[in-house]
Amino acid sequence: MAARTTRGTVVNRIPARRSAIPTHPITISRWRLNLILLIAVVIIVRVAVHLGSIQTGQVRVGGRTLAEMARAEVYQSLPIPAPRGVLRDSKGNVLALDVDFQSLYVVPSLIDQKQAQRLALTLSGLLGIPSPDILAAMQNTSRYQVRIKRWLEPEIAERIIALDEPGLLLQYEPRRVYPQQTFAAHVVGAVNFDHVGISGIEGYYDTLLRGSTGVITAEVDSQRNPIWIAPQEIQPAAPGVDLQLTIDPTVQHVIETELKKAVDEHNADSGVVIVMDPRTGAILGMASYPTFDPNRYFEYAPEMYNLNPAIGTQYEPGSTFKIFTVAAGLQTRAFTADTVVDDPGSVYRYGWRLSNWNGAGNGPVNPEKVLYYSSNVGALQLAELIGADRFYAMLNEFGFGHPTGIDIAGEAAGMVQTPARQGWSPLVLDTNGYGQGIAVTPLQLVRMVAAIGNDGKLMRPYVVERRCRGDDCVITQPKQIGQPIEPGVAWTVRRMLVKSANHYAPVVWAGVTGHYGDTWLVPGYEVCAKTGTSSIPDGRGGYIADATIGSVVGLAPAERARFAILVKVDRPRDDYWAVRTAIPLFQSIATQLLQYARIAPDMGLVDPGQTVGGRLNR
Amino acid sequence: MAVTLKPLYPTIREAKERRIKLARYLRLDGGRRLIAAALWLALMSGLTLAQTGHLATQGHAVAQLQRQQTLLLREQSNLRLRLARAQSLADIERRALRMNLRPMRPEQARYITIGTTTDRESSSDDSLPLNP
Repeated sequence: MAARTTRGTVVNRIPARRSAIPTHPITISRWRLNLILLIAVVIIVRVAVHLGSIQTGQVRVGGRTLAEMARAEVYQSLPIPAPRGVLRDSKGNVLALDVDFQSLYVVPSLIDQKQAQRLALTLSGLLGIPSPDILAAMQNTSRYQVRIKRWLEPEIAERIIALDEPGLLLQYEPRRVYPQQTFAAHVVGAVNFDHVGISGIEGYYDTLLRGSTGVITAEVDSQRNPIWIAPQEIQPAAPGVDLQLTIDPTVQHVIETELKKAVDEHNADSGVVIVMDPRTGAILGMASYPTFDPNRYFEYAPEMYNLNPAIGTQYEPGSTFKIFTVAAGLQTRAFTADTVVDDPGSVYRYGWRLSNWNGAGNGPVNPEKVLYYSSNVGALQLAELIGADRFYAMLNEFGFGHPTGIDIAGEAAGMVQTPARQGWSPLVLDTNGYGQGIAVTPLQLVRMVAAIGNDGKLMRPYVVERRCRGDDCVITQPKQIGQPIEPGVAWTVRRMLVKSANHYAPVVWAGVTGHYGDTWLVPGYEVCAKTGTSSIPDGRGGYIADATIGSVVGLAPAERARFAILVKVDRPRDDYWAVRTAIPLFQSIATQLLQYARIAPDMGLVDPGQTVGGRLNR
Repeated sequence: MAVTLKPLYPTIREAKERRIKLARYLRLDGGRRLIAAALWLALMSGLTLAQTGHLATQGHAVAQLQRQQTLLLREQSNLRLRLARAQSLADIERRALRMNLRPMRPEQARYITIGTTTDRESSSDDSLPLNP
């Protein structure tokens, strides 16, 4: 029974009956009860407010509201990869394309560690990776997944799927594949592991080939696949541009096969062949040997896949450069085709003795004979007749000392020492006259000869014929960038070069004709050719004693030329002279290309013992 | 001719009564408003659910098609790769040699001149190399 006292406290009155438990009156003040109630109410309100805040997304964690975090979890921006453009040759055969291959990952947390060793051994056999490496990846629990190998062959991927191991994860990844392997490798180039072009066409046109990655912002599931419920924002990917090259597969096959044979036969260090269409500047074939497989570029030395020797190496052109000296002199009217200079075999200039290749004199020689005998003494006198100003102006007209502008990454400019530069002396002009003391690229040289075959019109070389985005194609138009010589001068030089070519023919034909007199280099056709045996600078101002570069440049056929050809064999071990190393290579290539182009032979241009289409059988 | 005459006024009165009763049925008081709101809400919810379901079905179909497209594109690129490998001239040469085919020897070629010299010269001015 309770009664209220005068102080407002509640007193529980205990009955007077005795009890084992001592009884005390428990009194709680009203205000205390109210206080407890108030505190409880405050706590409940606080919890309610907090719950409300959570519900309405006002709570911030790490600077972001929960609502924002939830939205970020559900709505994501996913990249839409743009496929890299396809490379094709002039006949449409694919040279490079993207293919999705499966890559193998392990998820250590899902691997049964008791079975890990057995699984590692199995995978090692399939993948060719040491099993300890695989085992280490399987035991690396600090990461959710670890990549074991990229880009598995489909058969290997199938066998891994058949293992049915939950801890093995296969994911598709695009890979750049070069189905023709080493074919035109230096032209095509390669892409690195990040899918970025690092050389060749792949490097030069990297931005165009890559296209642009798109983005999709959408609600996604746990596998990050877009769910098509909420509206999506899609910025579509722009696929890379497909490129069709000017490279003719047959021409490329012929020059690669012949170049490899020549380099192997002469035990040479390397070699280059370029075939250009003189009328347009289109590169029909460009081969370097040794070469590399762009699919496995990383297994080669960087200079192998980064440098295209046909456009990126510079060398002293040697006697092939006499073509320029003669053309420049005729164009500048410094001399005529009938001008005669004396060739005693060697002459002294500025304290230096300058000699012919064999030291023997050729007597009075005109420009034609300078080319025919490859007279150094004659050529230097022709250069002196031209004079430094006109000589170097013509060099500039022909584009020496500047990149040609070809659309392949890694082109060198060459080196021309002009009178304006420090260190030049009149001796430089003399040696330049026969192709020493100047550095050119093989491409610059073949372009010069192409201009002679194209009535003096100098074209910009190019290797991409067509750029297509879907059905929208842009065709490369041939571009004339100058006319260093007149058509008449070009014709005169061509006639001289036909005689020069026939002068070398016995190297190929003496065995069947039985004589060493001039004959047709390519029976049935007139072709232009000039050899060059270049000394190699030793880097100390002199030349390496026992090493040369043998090269030939020419046109096939001589008139209305279809092919401007350069062949170059570096450091042949068995023969010092280009006429024995490079001429058979040139002859074989010219013969096959003329047949391929279906140019009918003239039977009046076949000497007894010769066969149309015949070539040195190496 | 017999004519049945009916008083007009009772009919009008009945019509008026019926009209008054109908209004009573349609009149919205508190309870009816609640029911109407619930019905409206249910209708709207059903509509939204139907739309969402339809959208999800369509989305699923689109996702399926996209997956199928990805698979087909992968298949296409694999086939293109096989085609490109088969078109490699080095491979073709190897296959031809396996079939005992040999390159033509120069002496096996026969050149036949058709037409006059002038015709022959003009015909050689074709613009591009032809396939052999």
